[in-house]
Parts: sequence; C-alpha cells; structure tokens
Amino acid sequence: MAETTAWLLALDRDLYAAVGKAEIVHFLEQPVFFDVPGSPFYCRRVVVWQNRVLPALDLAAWLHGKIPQRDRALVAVTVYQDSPGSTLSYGGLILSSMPLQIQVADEQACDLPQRPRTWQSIAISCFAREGQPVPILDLRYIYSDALMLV
Amino acid sequence: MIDDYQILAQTQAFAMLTMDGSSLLVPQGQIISLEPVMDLRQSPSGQGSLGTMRFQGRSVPIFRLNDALEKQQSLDAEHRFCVIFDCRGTYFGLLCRQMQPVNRDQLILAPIPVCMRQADMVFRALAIREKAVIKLTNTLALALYLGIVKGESDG
Repeated sequence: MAETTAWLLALDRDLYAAVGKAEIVHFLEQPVFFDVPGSPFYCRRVVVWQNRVLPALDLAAWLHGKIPQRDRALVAVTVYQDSPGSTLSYGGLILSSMPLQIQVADEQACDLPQRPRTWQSIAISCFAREGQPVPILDLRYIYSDALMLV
Repeated sequence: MIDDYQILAQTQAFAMLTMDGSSLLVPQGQIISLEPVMDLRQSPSGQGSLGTMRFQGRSVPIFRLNDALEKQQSLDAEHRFCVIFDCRGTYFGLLCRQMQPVNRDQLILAPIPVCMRQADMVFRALAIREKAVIKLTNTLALALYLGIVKGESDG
C-alpha cells in the first residue's frame, strides 16, 4: 500500500484541497496584502515573500464565482515548475486556516466532487478523507492564465 | 506587456506619484512637466477627465484616479499639482498629491504574475520598495487606459 504525505488545505469554510508535502515551502500567518487593481477578482492582491512578489490566489473565490467570507486569511507559499527542468516558480494560495499534514494512500483515490464543476479543470486527481472527496491541485495550471479561460 | 517590463527593468530613474492614497511608478523621463493645480479648469469631459489645463498652447485633459484607478470628477485640497505626459504627441495629465524621485537600485522589480495579467491592465510591472509593493506603468499604458489613445487592435 503506497502512502504519501500531503497538505490538506482549507480554501474556505467548505472547500478543501490538497497538495504534495514538497509543494508548500512556507506559510504567511499574517500576510500583508497589496492590491493590484485591474487583475481578476480571484487574484486581486499580491504578497511579498523573500524579496519576491507572489500572486495571492483565492481559489475558493474562483470556484464559487465570488469572494468568500473568511474569519482570517493566511497564505501558503507554494512552489511548482512550469515544465520539467525549468526553474522553480512560487505562488501564494489564500487559506482560511493552517493546513494539516496528512497521509494519503492509493486506496483513497476517488472521483472529483460534482460541485463546483470547475474542480475538474484544476485538479489532477482526488482522494477521499472522512467521507469527503479532496481534490489534489495542479499548481502549474492554477498559476497560469488558464483560470481566466475556464 | 513583457516588452514593457523589460524596458522598465532597464530604466534607472522613476517618479513615484501619489495620487489619492496609493502610489504609481513611472519612468521619470516620460514626465514632461509638473503644473500647479490652480491652473486647472474644472469641466468634466466625455473621456472622464476632471477638467483641462492650458499647456504649451494646448488644452490638456487632466484626470484624477482613485486607489481603484477609477476616474474621479472632484478635486480635493490634497491634490497639489498635475503631472503632464506626452503620448505620441497627445498631452494628458494626472492629478497628484506628491511626487518623489526613486532610483532603480531602490527597487526590486517583478513582472505581473501571469495569473493576474489582463489585456486592459494599466500596470506593466510591480516593484518591492521598503517592504511595500508599488505598481509600475508607462505613458502609453496610461494613455490607453484613460482612453487618450487607441491601441493598434482598436484601429
């Protein structure tokens, strides 16, 4: 039984997703956001991390089509590659609470949630946890311009 | 947008314009004049300008942008001058509260993240300065955004 370690991410009160253990390199618990007017409603702000400007992507907003209510917002600094062998790229993902490290086994694989339907665009697979499907995010895809086209 | 970023990245002298609350960096060499706000004649136009100003024998539209970059039709006492730009021979101005010179070595420049780029976006880059993020633009991007000139695709 193959097992791997993943981060369970609360995108808002209702939506959960996961990424691999190595795909998060830092958490900004009290992020300072800077507005960038004219950018898409689900990614209107940036944060600074290690002298880099990172987009603060609100995937819950994209999935719901509106900005969700949150008691707090923290940012997970995620790392990905645009293509194999390319330099590392970083992006910020807005979360509602601190992520949880979990173990995921192959046997937990399941279908993507039916709603929102747009999960299908941004998830590479899915697993079941406590009876709920948890999509695994395709980070390269979500930080591209693809979300504007879906 | 990427070409604009590369040009901005090679620019050595910027002007940081504080309009309402937020700031905008533009290449200093693209500013042709600073004019006192007392010369502004308030008369809103179809382009959304706040009024006009006589400059070098021309009537120059002057705009006020708020922090969300929406055109505003009122003046407040904090606005002290107009920054005049020349875009392909067409002059326009922005109302500002402050202007401060900023050297390239005070900035860490970054392109607009791909997932944030929009075709009609006025910004061409972002910069970190003293732990804050400031937006960068240029005369052409401003003129296109304000409707002063049309893009090539618009005819």
